[in-house]
Amino acid sequence: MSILIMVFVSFLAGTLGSMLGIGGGIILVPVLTQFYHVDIKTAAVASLVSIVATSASGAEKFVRSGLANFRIATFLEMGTVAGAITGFFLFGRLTPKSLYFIYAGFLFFSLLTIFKNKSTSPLSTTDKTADYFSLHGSYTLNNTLQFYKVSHSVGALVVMYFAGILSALLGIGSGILKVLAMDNLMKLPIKVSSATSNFMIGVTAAASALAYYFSGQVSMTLTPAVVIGIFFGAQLGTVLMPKLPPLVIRTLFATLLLLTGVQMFMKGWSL
Amino acid sequence: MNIQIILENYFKWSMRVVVVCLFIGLALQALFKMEGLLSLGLGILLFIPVGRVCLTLYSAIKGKDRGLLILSAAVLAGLAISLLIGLLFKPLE
Repeated sequence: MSILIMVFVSFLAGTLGSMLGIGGGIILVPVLTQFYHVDIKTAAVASLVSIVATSASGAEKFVRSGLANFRIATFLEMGTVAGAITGFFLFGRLTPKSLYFIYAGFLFFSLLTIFKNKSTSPLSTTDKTADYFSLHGSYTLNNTLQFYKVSHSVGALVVMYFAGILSALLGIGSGILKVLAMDNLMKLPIKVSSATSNFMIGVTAAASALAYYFSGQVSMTLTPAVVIGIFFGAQLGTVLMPKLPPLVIRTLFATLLLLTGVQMFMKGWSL
Repeated sequence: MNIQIILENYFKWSMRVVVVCLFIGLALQALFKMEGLLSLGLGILLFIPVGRVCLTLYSAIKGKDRGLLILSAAVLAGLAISLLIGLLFKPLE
């Protein structure tokens, strides 16, 4: 596959991924493995590096908006980094067949979360860990300062460990798991949880990507093209996203997850 | 200077450097089969989050914020371990 085709395919994946509010990796890895017969491990590592790029380019916006909570991000990154290191060791031991099944399982799980109602009621329980690290915060909504308290921070840290493992294995940012944990366990406002999740995805991906890079597992042919394609695709997706109605986005996302999930399962089954 | 402004500029400029390196690197690879700049571009890219954690650590030290200092030092240690295992462990074939 020529460099230009790789850039183009990644550009489309980045645009679509960004329009749907997810990273391009969850789309790119199935496309590369199914249609271009790229090895799943090579595709996952390339996707992981591209996640660092999309997160770093979006981070500037999240920092400026003041929605991302640095303290919560750093606290949860302890879990994702530990998970990513575990994932690196598992990656070398798992067969492509099992990776296809894990990927399909994750896509089906993501499908279930799309139509789930977001938890909005804040809990009044006290959390000593959150108090110690001063994780509680505030953000501005309609020119009013809104305060929020954090609960179940240790539980969320455990979920982050598994998010880190999945990120290292599948080449994804695991944003779905992160937002779920921040919404349902920590009871963060949705805007804060999605901004914080996007902000911390870069560190999660970099934790395993650094190990892959220094152990020589990053393809110098595929990865740069994927990074450039996804990076620019994501910029276009951000512009296009507000123009699509939410129902269309959800339906498109659900169809995509279902199709790619079935395809990944079938591919794993056929190996 | 405020840590928020430092981080904003840090992300903006580091990504510009990476994109330029990758673009020129791809051209050099296609024309002369040279991979040096691509490798450098990807290397800089992967160290952007590490730099961000270092900046958080710096702000924690400057602000004498013990909680944030512990958190950012733990994350930085994790990233250092990741880098180290990448250097020490080769993939199983």
